[in-house]
Amino acid sequence: MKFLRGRIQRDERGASLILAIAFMLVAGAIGAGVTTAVSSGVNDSSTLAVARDREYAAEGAIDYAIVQVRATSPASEIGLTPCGPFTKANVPELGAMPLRGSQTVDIRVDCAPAPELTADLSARNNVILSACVDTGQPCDPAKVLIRAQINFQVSVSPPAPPKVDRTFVQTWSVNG
Amino acid sequence: MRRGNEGGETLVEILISIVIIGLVSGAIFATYATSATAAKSQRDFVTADAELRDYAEAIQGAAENCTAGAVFKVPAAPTTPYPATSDAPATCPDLLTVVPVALTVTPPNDTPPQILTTYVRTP
Repeated sequence: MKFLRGRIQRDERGASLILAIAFMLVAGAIGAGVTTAVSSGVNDSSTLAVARDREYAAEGAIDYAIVQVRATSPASEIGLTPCGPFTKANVPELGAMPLRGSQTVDIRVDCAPAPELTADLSARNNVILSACVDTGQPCDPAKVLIRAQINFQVSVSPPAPPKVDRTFVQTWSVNG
Repeated sequence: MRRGNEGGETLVEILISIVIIGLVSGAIFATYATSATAAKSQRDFVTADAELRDYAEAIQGAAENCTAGAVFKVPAAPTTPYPATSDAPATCPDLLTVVPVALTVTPPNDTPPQILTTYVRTP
């Protein structure tokens, strides 16, 4: 009995310490996992918020492009002649458009005429506008943020020159 | 019976273990508290963000019915607990103008305000 008690006591030496260290490691791993998950979630939502803000900037850029087409093209030629592109070089508002916090983005809008014949063979004044982050190159179709087909309703009442009465968004696709 | 040089070893180990477990437990509670605070802040952020975008869509929708120079009927802003403000123009923009509108939603619990810029144009 005395021999057995001595063996047990010798075998138990350091057991509590080992258990405590094991506990520390497991708890540390769990804590690190929780912290990583929380910080990852926070970062993800910030990234998502910026991506959404970029869409709003692209949407605003499309609005600026519509106004530019309206202001710079003769009404009867809208959608029949080349237009754009619109960048901060010719539309300053497309530069440094605000995002979340202090971030900004430059947006480019490419413009392509998209005439459409009606049943009576008159042309509808349509353009397709593609907004993307400005890289100095035409918008890569895979990186277009918003593509919209806009109809410019032109009224003709001679002798007054044709004029755009109203614009209509015919299609609007968001590519995130 | 212990041998002389083993006296008190287990007591010392237990004390060290208690100290380690105490430190780790404290760290766990601190982590939990931080996570809970971050989660609450995150919830406020996401809710404010949703309010902001709803408000932006409502303002853009109102612009769809604009006539240049007419009164711009700004939709009612969200109120407590996520009050919003906007600097929308009093009248609809003219046909060749785009107006940036800054929207701000202030979440509760000292979460920083969320600001979004949207744009209005008379069709």
